[in-house]
Amino acid sequence: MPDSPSPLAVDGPTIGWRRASAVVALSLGACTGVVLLLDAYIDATDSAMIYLVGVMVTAYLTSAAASVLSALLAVVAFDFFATAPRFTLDVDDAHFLVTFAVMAGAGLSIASLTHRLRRKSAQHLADAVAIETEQMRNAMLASVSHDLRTPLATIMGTATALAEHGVDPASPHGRTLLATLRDESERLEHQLGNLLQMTRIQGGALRLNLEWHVPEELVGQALHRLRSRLGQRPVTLAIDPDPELVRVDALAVELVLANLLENAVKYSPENSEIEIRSTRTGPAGEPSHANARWQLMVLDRGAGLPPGDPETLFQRFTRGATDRPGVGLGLAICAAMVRAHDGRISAADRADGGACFTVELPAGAAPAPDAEAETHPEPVR
Amino acid sequence: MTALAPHILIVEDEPRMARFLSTLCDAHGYRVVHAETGADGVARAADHQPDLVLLDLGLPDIDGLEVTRRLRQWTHVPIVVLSARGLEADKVEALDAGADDYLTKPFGAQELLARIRVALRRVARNTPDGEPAITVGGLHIDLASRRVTRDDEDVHLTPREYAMLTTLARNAGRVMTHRQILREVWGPNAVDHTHYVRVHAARLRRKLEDDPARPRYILTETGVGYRFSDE
Repeated sequence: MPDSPSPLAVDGPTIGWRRASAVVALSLGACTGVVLLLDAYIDATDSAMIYLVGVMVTAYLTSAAASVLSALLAVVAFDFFATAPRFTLDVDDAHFLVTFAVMAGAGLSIASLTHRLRRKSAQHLADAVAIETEQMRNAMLASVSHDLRTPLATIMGTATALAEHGVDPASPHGRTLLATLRDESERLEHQLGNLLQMTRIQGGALRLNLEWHVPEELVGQALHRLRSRLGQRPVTLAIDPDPELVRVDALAVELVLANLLENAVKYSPENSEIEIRSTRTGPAGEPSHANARWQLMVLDRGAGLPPGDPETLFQRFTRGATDRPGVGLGLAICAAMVRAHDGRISAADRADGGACFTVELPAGAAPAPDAEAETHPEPVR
Repeated sequence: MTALAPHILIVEDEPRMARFLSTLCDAHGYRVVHAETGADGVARAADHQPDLVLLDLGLPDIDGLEVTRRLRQWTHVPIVVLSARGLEADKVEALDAGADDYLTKPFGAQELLARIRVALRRVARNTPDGEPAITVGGLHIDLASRRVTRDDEDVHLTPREYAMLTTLARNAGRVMTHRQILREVWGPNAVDHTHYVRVHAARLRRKLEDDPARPRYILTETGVGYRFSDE
């Protein structure tokens, strides 16, 4: 029976879906075979390249849709066969997450490039892809390492000034240097924390520890965590006075709030006011309803959002302004944490100047109160 | 305490961290013994009878949790565990196994010295009778007459609130896990109802603190428990 034309082949050579899937399967199988055969001689990055060659061949022989599928399957196969731990979808080493992202991106680019360049030489194409892969990976690594090296450079310079260049630690200069050392270490710790959290999220190791919490306490902990960064900055709180409980992961919420506060400090003038608002809202004014939501807002008096779609702020490695320090990971982590809670995060300009970040999380139905305390209201004198 | 400087046993395998800890303790007049493994730590604790143990949770041979359990079979020496952020469950386990306090790496010198002071002071005043009253800042808790005043004004507390406040205040300076507080205040059947503790902490703060979101007396240790500040 002849193959009938399929929707897969709309803009490619007219081939059947059976042939397309056979090509996808064969090329993936062949790549895996090569990767396993050469295992002792090549490293995982080379394996990624071999899979990309497979994607390229598929794209050359089949349709656009089949090559997109092949690109995605190649990432999965690479994860499964070529990265430790082997034969699982887990990854040990964080830098493979970058490789995955780059590989998916490169695979998809290959699909479109091949489509356009189908008639050009295969060698040409491989070069273009290799360059593109390298550039994307370099951009990400450059962003991360710049933001980790900046505080580290200050720490190293300051420490050598104290240890080797005879600056007396007790002198006014020495004390300034020591304070710098402390502040920059804290910054480095904060950024490493963000990076680690991002790795956990991407590695699928993020397990939410959902418990009932008092909003006021969560906000207080975030303020405490950022106390040295906030310094004398006025922070106004508008929190519902009744301890309405919310069911969230405390460490995750603290991290979200700390990143939003850090952002507010970074992008608004010194001594300008930062405001935090917390409300628990339920349908028809019933805050203890099961569909109740917890809304948290962080508002500043800075220059507002950068031009463009606010959504892009929550993607990795974008930054409001390129001349400010920060891994550009903060908001991406907020978004990932909020998503893990099935919540929403958004950013907007305030009508009277400044930016407003809003987090909305499901709050859950309030739990049973401590019954005994309710039935024994007799106060201690 | 005797006139001799307190003896601190440091159980830490990472040499640079151990050097930082010993230098700091030494500079503040404590006598220092160092062990690089858990087994060595247990042995040295028996030989030297230290006044305090600084214990890293991630040791190469037996982990800090096991060291805590072994030490608690024969000694009440204060144990302060050191562990990384994100490993809150490990800290809670060590505290429930009998450790006195914990510090999250990385930490500053001030924090470490404060924990050491608190732990040593607790041993010094640990008499069977305890104290009749506790005063911190403007807060006064008269345990004998069950009366609490804030800036000389009576504070009205429910029995639970009072029980939780005194449980924390009797262990001033030291972190108490949710489980420990629940067992003391609500009894052994309530140890999983951590939100009881959180709601009561919020109520106590409203009655005792100037700014409940920035507490001065009842401090939260996220994922671990509460600490009553006596400084």
